[in-house]
Amino acid sequence: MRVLEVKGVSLKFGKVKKLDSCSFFTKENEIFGLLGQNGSGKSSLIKSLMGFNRPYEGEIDFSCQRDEVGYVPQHFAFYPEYTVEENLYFFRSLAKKKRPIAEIIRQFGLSDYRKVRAERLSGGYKRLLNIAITMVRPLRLLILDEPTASMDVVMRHMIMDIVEGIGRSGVSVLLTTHYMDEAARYCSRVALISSGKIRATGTVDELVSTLGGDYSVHAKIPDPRQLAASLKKAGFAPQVEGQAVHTHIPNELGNKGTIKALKVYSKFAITSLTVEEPSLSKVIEGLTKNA
Amino acid sequence: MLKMPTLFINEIYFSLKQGGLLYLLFLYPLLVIAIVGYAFNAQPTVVVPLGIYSEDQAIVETLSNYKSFQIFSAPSALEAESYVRQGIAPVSFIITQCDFYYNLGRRTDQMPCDKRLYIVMVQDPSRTTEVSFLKMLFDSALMEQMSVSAKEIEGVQAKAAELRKDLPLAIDEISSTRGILVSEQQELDTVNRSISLEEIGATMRDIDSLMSFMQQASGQSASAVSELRVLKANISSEEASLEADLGGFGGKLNSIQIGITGAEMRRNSYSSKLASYDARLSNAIAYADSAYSYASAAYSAAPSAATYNALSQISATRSELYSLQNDLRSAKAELDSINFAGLRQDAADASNYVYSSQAKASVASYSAQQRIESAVGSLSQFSSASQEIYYSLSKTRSRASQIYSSAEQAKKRMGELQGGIADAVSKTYKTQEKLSSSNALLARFIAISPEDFVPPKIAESKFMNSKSQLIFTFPFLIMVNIALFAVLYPIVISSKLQEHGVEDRLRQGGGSLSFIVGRFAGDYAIVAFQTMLFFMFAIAIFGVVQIYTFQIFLQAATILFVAIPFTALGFLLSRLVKKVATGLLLSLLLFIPMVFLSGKLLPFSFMDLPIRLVGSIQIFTVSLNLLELSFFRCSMAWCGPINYAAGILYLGALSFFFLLLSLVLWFMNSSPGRAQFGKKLSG
Repeated sequence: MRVLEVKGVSLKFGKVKKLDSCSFFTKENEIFGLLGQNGSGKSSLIKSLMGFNRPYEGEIDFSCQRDEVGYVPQHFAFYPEYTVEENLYFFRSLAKKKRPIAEIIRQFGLSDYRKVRAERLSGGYKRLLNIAITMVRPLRLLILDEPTASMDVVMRHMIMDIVEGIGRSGVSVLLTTHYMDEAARYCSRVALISSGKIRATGTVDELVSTLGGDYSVHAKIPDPRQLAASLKKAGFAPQVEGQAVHTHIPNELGNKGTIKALKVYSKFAITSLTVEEPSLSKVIEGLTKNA
Repeated sequence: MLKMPTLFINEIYFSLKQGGLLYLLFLYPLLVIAIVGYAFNAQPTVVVPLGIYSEDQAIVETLSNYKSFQIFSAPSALEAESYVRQGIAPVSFIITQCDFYYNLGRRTDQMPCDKRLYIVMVQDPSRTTEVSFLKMLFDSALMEQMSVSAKEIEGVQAKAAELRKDLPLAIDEISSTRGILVSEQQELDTVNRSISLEEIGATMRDIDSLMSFMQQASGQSASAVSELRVLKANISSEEASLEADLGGFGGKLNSIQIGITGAEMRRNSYSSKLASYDARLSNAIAYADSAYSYASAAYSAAPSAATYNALSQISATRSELYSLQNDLRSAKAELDSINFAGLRQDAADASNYVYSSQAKASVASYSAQQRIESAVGSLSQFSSASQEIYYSLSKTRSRASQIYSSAEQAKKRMGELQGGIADAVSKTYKTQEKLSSSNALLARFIAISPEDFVPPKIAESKFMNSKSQLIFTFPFLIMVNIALFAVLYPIVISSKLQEHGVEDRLRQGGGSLSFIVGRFAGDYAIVAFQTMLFFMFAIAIFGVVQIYTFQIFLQAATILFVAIPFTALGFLLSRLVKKVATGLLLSLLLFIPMVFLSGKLLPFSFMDLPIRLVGSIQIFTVSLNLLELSFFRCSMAWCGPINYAAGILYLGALSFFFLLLSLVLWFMNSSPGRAQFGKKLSG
C-alpha cells in the first residue's frame, strides 16, 4: 500500500528552478532511495514534502497522518547541551503517541551513552541520536536526508542496518543518499534525480540492467598489438592507448561476453587487469551527462 | 495546549544550560550598576554657563546656588538671547509665567494658566552636548525641587489630617443628636396621638347616653314595682280559687273510693252466683253424658235413623253445655280478676296528692308573694341608686367637659413643639452635610499628591552630590538593560536553536499556540529574573534611594510588566532570524534608535516633529515613562494613574500584537504546504 505519492512537484527559488515536475511514490515495508549527486535537488524535494519549502506546483499526498511522518534532517537537530536521554525525553513529551525510551535506546544502541551530553558523542552516534529522536513516536513513514553523510564505512553500515530494521518493521522509509553502493544494498526501489528532475524510477537491478552501461575490460601489456589482434579475431572491438587495451562488451552479451574476452586476455602476459561492470554510478553518470 | 508547560520548562532548562547565561544574569547587572553608580557618585567637575531671564527671581537665586551652573542673570529676554549669540552661555532660559503653552514644539496661545513652568530655551546649536547635559540637569533639579516643596505640603497635609480627625466625631455627634431629637419627636407624636379629643368627646357622649339610660331605668323600675304589686294580688286570688278547686276534687276522690268498695261487693255476689250456675251446668252436662251413653247403647243395640238422630241431638246438646260452661267460667275468672283494692289505693293516692298539691300551692303562692315583695324592695333601691348614679354622672360629665378643653389646648401646644423639633432635625442635616463636605474637601486635599500643589520653584539642590542622583537615571538604566537583554535574549536562544536544527523538529512536534506561549513564557521568565536581579542589586548593593514613599512593589511590578513587550518584540524578531550573528546585529539595530529616540540621550525638543512623534510613541519611551511614573509618581512628561493605565494598555496591546504576529509567522512556517494527509492512495 502506498504511503506517499508525489505528483508533478516543482519548486523555484527566484528564477532558478530547483525541482521540475517530480513524481514518485513509496510503499509500506520498503526502503525507497532518492539518489542523486550533490546539488541534484534531493534535499529540496525532501523539504518540500515536509512543508519547509513551498512548491508552486504539484501534489503531495500521504495516506498517513502528519504526526505519523518522521523527518530526520541532514544536520544534527537536537539540543547539544542535553544528554541523550534528556533529548529523547523532551522530544517524546511533544509527541501525541509515544514509544518507550528504553526500547528506542536499545534499538539504536545508545545504552552506554544515555547520560552523555549529545555534543560529546562521536559523529556516528550523533547521527543515530538524530534518527532516534525522530523515532520517539510510532511512524508510518520515515524520511531521512543523507543519513550516512560523512560517516565511515563501519558507521554507515551500522546506521543503514538500523534503518533496514525500521523498514522491515512495516515503516515506509524514504532516504536520500549519494552513496550508490548503499542504495544498491539497502533500497527496494530508487528514484534517480538530477538537476531537480527525476530521471528514472525502479528497482536497482532494473535500472542497472537497462541504464547501467556496458561491461569493459582494461589491461596493460608491453605489446598490445597482438592482444588487440586476438580480441578482434574473437569478435570484440578493442581500443589501444599506448600499452593499454580497452575492450567494451555490449550489455546484451553480459557476463558470458566478459568471460570470453578474459579468456583471450589470459593468453597474454598482461601487467594489470581491470574489469568494469554496469552499476548505479554509471546510471547516474549517464543520466547526468544526458541531462 | 498540554505541550505549553513542557516547552516553557524546556526553554528555561535550555537557557540554564548555556554557559554565557551566568554572565548575563548576574555579572552584567553587577558590572553595569557598579560602573554607572560610580560615575554618578563622582563630584561634578563641569560647570555649565547658563543665561537666564526669569520673572520669578526666586528661580534665578536658586540656580545661582546650584554648583553645576554658572548663572548669567539677564535683565530682559533679549539680553538673555544675546548671551547665547555672544557665546557667553550655550543656552539661555527665558522663564515667563503662563505666557503660552509649549507642547510638542507648537506654540499655542490662550492656553489656561496653570501651575506649569513655561520655559523658552535659546540655545547655541554648536554646543548641543552641553545644552543636552544642562537640560537633563535642569529637569532633574526641577524634579528634586518639586520633591522638597512637596515635603512641605506633606506637612500641611499632615496637619490637615490631624484637624480632620475631629470632624468625623462631630459628624457622628450631630448624627446621634439628630437621632435623639427624632426619637423625642416620635415620642411626642405618640403622646399627641394618645390624647384624642374625639375619644374624650365620645366619652362625654357615652356619659350623656348613660344618664338618659339611668333616668329611663328609674322610671321603668317604678312601673315594675306597681306591676309586681298587681301581680301579687292576682297570685293571692288565684291561690284561693285553686284551693277551693282542689278541695272539691279531694271530696270527689273520697266518694270514688266508696263507690269502688260497693262495686267490689257487687262483684263478689255476682261471682258466687256464677259459681252456682257452673255447678248446675256441671249437673246438666252429667245428665247429658249419661243420656249420650244411653243413646249410644241404644244405637248400638238397634241402630236406626231415629236412634241415630237422637244420639246426634244429645251429642250437640252436650257440646253446647260444655261450651256454655267454659264461657261461664271465663266470665267468672274475669270478674274475679278485677283488683278493687288497687283501684281504691289509686283513688286514695290521688286524694292524698290533691291535698299535698293544695298545700304546695299555698306555700308557692306565699313564696311568690314574698319574692315579689323583695323584688319590689330591690327595684325601689335600684330606683334610688339610679338617681344617685345620675347625679354622679352629671358631675363626671361636667368634669369631662373641662378635660376636653384642657386636652384641646395641650394638643395645640404639642403641635407647636413638634414643628420646632422638625426644624432642629432639618438643621442637623444641613450642618452634617456642611461638615461632611468640609471633611471630603480636606480628604481630597490630603489625598492630592503634594507635588501637584507645588509650582516648579528651584531651591537648593543636592543633585550630583549624593547617591539619590542615581534615582533619576535609574529607570533609564533599567530600561536600557531591559531593551537590550529582553530583545536580544529570545533572538539569541531561538537562532541558536535554529542553528542546532531543533526549530525544525519543534515545528513538527509542537502546536502553534503551545509553542509561542510556552517558549515566550520561558524566555520572559529568564528576562524577568535578570531584570529583577538588576533592580535588587541596585537597591541592595548600591543603595539606590527613592524620593517619595518607598513603593518598591509598584516599581517591581512595573519593571516586570515593561519587560513583557520587549521580550515579545525579541520573540517576534526571533521568528525572522536564523543565525545568532544576524540576531545580534538586528538587536543592536533596534536598540540604538530606541534609546536615542527616548528623549533621554537627546532631548525631544532637539528633534523634528515627525521624529519626535515616533520617539514619543515608541516602546522604549512609553516603557520608560511608565517606569518613571512608578518611581517618581509624577514625572515631567507623565502624571497620574490615567497616564499609567494608558501606558499599561498600550504596552499590553503591543505585546499581544507581537505575540500574535509570532504565532502567524510560526503557523505559516509550520503548515504542511501542498501536502495532504490521511488520503486514500491506490496500490
